[in-house]
Amino acid sequence: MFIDVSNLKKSYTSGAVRNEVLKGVEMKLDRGDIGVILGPSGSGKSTLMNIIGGVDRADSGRVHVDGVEINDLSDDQLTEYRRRDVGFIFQFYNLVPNLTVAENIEVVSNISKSPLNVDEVLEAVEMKDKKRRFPRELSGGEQQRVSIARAIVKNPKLLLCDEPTGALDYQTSRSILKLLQQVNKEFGTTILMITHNTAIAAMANRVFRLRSGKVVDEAVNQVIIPAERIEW
Amino acid sequence: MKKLMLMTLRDIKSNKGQYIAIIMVVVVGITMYNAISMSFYNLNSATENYYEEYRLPHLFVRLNNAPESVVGIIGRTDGVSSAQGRLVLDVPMEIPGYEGRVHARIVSVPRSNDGALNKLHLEEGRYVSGDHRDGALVEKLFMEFHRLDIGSSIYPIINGKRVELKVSGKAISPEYIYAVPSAQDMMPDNERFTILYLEHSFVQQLTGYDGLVNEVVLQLEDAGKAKEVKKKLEDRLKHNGLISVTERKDEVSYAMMDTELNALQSMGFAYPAVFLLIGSIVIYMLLIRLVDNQRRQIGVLMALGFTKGAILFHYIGYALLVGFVGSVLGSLAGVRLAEVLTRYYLTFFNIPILQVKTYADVVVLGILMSVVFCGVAGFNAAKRVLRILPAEAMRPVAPIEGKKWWGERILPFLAGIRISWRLTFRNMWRNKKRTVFTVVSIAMTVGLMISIMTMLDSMDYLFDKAFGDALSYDYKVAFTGSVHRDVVKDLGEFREVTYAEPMAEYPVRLMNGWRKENTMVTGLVQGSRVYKLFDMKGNRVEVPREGILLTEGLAKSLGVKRGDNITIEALNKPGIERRIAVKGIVEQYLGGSAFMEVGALDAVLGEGSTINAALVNLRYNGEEIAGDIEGMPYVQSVKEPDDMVKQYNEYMGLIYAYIGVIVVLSCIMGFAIIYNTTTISIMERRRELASLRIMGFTNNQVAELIFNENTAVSAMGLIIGMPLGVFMAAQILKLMPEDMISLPLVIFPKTYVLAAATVALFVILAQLANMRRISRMDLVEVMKSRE
Ligand SMILES: Nc1ncnc2c1ncn2[C@@H]1O[C@H](COP(=O)(O)OP(=O)(O)OP(=O)(O)O)[C@@H](O)[C@H]1O
Ligand SMILES: [Mg+2]
Repeated sequence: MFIDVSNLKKSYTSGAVRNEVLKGVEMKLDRGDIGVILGPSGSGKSTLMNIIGGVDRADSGRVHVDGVEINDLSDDQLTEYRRRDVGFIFQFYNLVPNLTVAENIEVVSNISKSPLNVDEVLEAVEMKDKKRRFPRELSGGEQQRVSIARAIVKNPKLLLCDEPTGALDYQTSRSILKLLQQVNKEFGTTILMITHNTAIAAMANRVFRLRSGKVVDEAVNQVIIPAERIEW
Repeated sequence: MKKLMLMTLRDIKSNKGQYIAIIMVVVVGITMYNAISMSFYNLNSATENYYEEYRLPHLFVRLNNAPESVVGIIGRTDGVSSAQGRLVLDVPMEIPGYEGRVHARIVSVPRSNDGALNKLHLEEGRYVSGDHRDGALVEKLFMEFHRLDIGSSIYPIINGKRVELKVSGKAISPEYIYAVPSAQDMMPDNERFTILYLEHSFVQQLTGYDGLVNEVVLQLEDAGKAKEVKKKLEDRLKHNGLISVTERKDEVSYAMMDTELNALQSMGFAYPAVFLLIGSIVIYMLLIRLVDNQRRQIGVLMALGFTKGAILFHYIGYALLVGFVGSVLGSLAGVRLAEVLTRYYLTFFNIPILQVKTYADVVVLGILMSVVFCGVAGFNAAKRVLRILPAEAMRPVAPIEGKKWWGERILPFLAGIRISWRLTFRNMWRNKKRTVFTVVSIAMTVGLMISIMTMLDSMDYLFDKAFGDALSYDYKVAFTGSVHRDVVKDLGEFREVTYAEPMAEYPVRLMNGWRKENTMVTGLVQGSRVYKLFDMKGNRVEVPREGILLTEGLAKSLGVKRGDNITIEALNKPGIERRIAVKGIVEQYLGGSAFMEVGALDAVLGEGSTINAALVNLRYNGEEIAGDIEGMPYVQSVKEPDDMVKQYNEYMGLIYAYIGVIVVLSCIMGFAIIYNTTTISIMERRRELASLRIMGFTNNQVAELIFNENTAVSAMGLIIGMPLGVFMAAQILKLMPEDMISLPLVIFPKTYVLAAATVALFVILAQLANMRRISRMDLVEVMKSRE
């Protein structure tokens, strides 16, 4: 089991009000699989993903990623874990505005132990010809390609995508999803993706439905649909 | 409106550090302004009241011994309201338990102190009348230095006879606030110079000058007519042995105090102004950041119906609040500091009236200045609110436009430096305005520090130069009056004296057209072995056989250069004027500022073959021999050149105090500025920094990005601040009283190093203080929102 989450709990207290966001989540995903998390707004999807990615901490429960108990890591170890093992892709890209496309990727490859070749990664996301541009000079889809390149350049074991197509149009979304599927195949990267779009679930090996902090349904797809054939 | 107030308070609470930092800058400026201004006013009114109450004369008439009837003649002159005759004579004096000889000035005083001119203030003891007629009132600081008590014996040597006098009181006089024997003595010497106030007829009896006076002091009906009365007296007394008529403003003590107060006054405005200026720049930067951060909130407020005016005022409110709080705190601190400074001042000057008042107008003006400075800065920053349209503000802020800066386009190698540095330079370029402001503020702080530390360097240099190369004599022997050159030969008779050379010092007035300077001219022998002069290039120069050498400062204030002619007049022989050629410009160090060959000086002043001092070297260090020499007839004092340094340092204690205050305050300000910039850049780049943290950057790697920017900006500030400091130092030196000492502008490398180290320390401290902001950054929170 590559990802093994069990009985994960997380709550926020603001003043006297205690808000239980995750109420004992169970989730398992094999190495090299694509997992999709569906669920209404506020159900705890991002919270769950942030804990798996080592950005946030759980109150209790277990989070095993590739045999390591994330919840037991120190702050420094978490940083190390994020640097070595995890790639993040956000809805709003979060590129460094003052760095060019190539530099945005280099800055991450510089801190990785065994990074992939920057040019090859740019080639893979089809952004090589625009590598000298600044984020401002790119479309949303292009920016998301760069952010994928930035996430995969360190050759992570796990790619976490929080609504990667949330801000993109239909065609562009499909090309981004295709790219993610390609990364999954070529590099064998395990991908966990949050989406509001149920159609996208067709490209995943496993689909988790979250409601009020619990996985209420889990489905295994026998047939994986290539992203370019998904329609909605 | 209440809601807006609440917003202001909430924002201030969440950025405590930053607001404290700016408030500190304001506090510093206002503290300084209040402290310096108020100590100026305290001293100024203390001196003025003192002069008034204790009746400092308006004119001083010096005569060769004249019958007392001259007092009546002077008193009846038009415009004179009262006149008082006296005998003043300088004598050597011995006191028990002290090796050396003291230079005592006997000043005769009337039988009654009440209603007298130059009324004495008795700290202790009894006035010299009645039973105490044969007692002596001794100058306060001297008594304290030598721990003399009422009843102690002192032994002045009058007409070669050692006379025992009992101290009957500890006194101070408005004539000797600054107790120096003459203008040539730059600093008070409480060890070796003092004034004895003896009853007038008693002095006549001691000296045998029955029925005679040699000075008449007088007050005028109208102080503004001093010049006219002076002229009248000069005419009338021409044939009565007149030596000189001096106005009060030309008397040493008065003039010194005046210079001191002027320097204080100009400092009182210049420095605080710089601090306030920097403070307002910092506020400006902070508010710009605040307005940009709260664009959306501003849009919402506008949409809710708040007027632009109300919102504008809300942001200006931050600045006004800072200005007000800072200036109130600064005033409180300033009032306290003024008291300390005033008291400290009074240990240097003989002023009995201690006036420590709080001047409401100073406080109000300070608060007003601060509020206006801050308000203007606030308005300039907040007016960007006016440009925000509600609809536009609701839209997300336009993403930051990434761009290479021109340096990278022109210099390709810059594109090859580490990414973190590329990012640093681009960020600095993107925030040009802020970068410029920060650089300027740091430059000003560095300038302030360097300019003030330069004073110390210049003094060190002066002493080194003076004692390293220029002045190599062991002792300077001053004679009681003019003596024949051959007296120097007598000094050579002492077995331990290895070398002796004649020297002369006379107070003169140098004139070039309307420009006049009173100074000392020093007569030296050609080829002097112990008193060397150097030109501005550092080459040794000799005193010319004819003509005069001037220091640069003196030449400048007379407006002359090499080859010009000037008029020289001996101050103790008014009327004798000679034209003389300026033969060169020499470097100044301790001592004189005009030099002639000793024979040529005699010729010009008509002194005959006379001198009034000698420079000697001894075989080995001989305090004893110095004592022996001091016991010789004609010898008034024997001084080591180091004594000048000691006195100078003592006097400089005052300046050191100011230097200390300014350096400390500059440091606080420097730190506040850098801390502030650090905070602003972290807040602005939160999102960027958070996403890098998520990518796996460590806290330190992220901090480095901020650190780089601080380092670059501070380095630029430092580079600009150094020459700025030199420029500011030059301006300050111009404020220093020229005739006292003209300091060369010297800056040692260590000063630059110290300034650089201080700035580096600030950068590191500001960084450490901000580390928490980085390590505590809530990554989830930052990433949740879209900008
Ligand atoms: N810092 C916080 N303090 C208090 N409550 C929080 C905090 N962060 C998140 N929450 C709460 O946790 C719940 C889950 O948030 P989360 O962001 O995980 O939802 P989500 O499923 O990702 O929703 P969306 O689809 O809208 O992104 C929400 O109800 C939210 O109010
Ligand atoms: Mg979410």
